[in-house]
Parts: sequence; C-alpha cells; structure tokens
Amino acid sequence: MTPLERHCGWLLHAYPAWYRRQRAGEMLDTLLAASPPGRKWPSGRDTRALVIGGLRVRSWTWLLSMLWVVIGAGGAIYATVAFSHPGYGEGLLIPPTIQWPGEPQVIDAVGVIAEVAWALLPVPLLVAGFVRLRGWRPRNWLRIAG
Amino acid sequence: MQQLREPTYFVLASLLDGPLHGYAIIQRAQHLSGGRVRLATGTLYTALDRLTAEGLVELVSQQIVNGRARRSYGLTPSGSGALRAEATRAADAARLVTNRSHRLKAGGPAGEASPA
Repeated sequence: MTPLERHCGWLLHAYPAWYRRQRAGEMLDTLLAASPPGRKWPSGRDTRALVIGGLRVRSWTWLLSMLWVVIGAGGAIYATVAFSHPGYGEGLLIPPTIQWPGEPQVIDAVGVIAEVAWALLPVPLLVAGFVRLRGWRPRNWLRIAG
Repeated sequence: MQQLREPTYFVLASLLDGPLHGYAIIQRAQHLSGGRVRLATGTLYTALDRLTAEGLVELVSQQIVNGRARRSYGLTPSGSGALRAEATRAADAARLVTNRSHRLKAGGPAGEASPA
C-alpha cells in the first residue's frame, strides 16, 4: 500500500461506515487516478471536498437516526401513559356495535395481539435508531446497557 | 424544471456519449467545459448520489479493477431530457444577448446616457 493510498483511506473515514462499505473502493480508485504520481497526499481541493462530503452524509444519517429515536421514545412514553391509565382497555377491544358472525374468541385474541404489537412498536423503532446512530457493535450495546 | 447548476450540467453532458466511471467523468467534464469545471472526488460522488436519487443518472455496470469496484454511470431518459431542457434554456438566454451585440458595440443601451 502506497502512502497516498493510506492517506486517502484515512480521509475517507470522514464518511460513515455504511457509506464507506458501498463507495470507499470506488472513491479511492478515483482519488488515486486524480492525484499526480509521486504525491503522498491528495490535493487540497480533494481533501476539503472529502471532509465536507463526509460531514454532510454523517449529518443526514444522524438526523434520520434521531427521527427514529424520537418516534420510538414518543411511542414508548405514550404506551406507558396509556397502559397506566386506570380506565385503559374499556371499549378499546372490539367495539360493541360491530356484530361479527365468526367466533368472538378469535376476534378478541386478534384484537389483543394487535394491541400488544401496537404498544411494543416503539421498541424496534428505538433499536433501529440506535443501530443507525452507533452501528451494530457489541461494544456499543454494552455501553447503552451499562 | 429546476435549473441545473454548472457542475451538474457538465457531469450530465460528459455522459452524452455513453457511460463513464468516476475519474473519466471528472476528466471529460473538465475537457468539455474548457477547464472551468474541475470536480473534486468528494464533490463528484455527492453529485452522483443526488443525481441517482433524482433518477437523472443510473449505475450501468460494475467491474472489479485492482480489487476495487469500478462503477460506470450513464444518463437515464429523464437525465437526458433535463440536460436538453437546460441546453435550450441557456441557448435562448444567450440569444437574447448575442442577437443585440451590434447595438451594444454601437454605444450601449438607449436611455442610459450619463447626464453631462
């Protein structure tokens, strides 16, 4: 590996890991071709563009992740408040006005499952947000748990 | 349609003769613009991300060179439409001036004479 290749690799770390997995090889190829022979670092313009481009991708990745985290946290708070309310559950299962010709136990069961799934929906959203923010690494999960 | 900025215009124009990979786009855009548009690598890929998302450019082929992916990008029909629309707009705007250039040479626009 030449010094130029190594330095370009460092600079590409301005981009988040998921982006580098897709694009780093191709970008490295272009950077090496664009740098004159004998150089150890890419040009100043290339360096600046990489840092700015990397920060841009990182910022919208972060915003997207925070959106999921906020939706998830909001849902979790809503579910907690709704379940802790004393009157919760009255009239929420199958509304009495609907007469279903099938077996009511089955419909009740589906209703209960659907409600539990609805209440638990924030959990995958929160997890998705954290994965997007921190990456899927055991180290990060230990830190959140700790 | 939204007006294309100059680097975007030359990136699209560089693909008129067929798909190209990253560095070839940089070279071709520089050549076509007479050296004005010198794209940095980061700028090019930011532009390619955006143009791909907008459906103006698409990934055409991918091959492995020196153990790294080399991808070629080409114009989509909507990309070539946008390029043509921009070319027409620029030509119309240019004609507005070039058709009157003899009057400008002959002493500037009428009614703007300085009070002397």
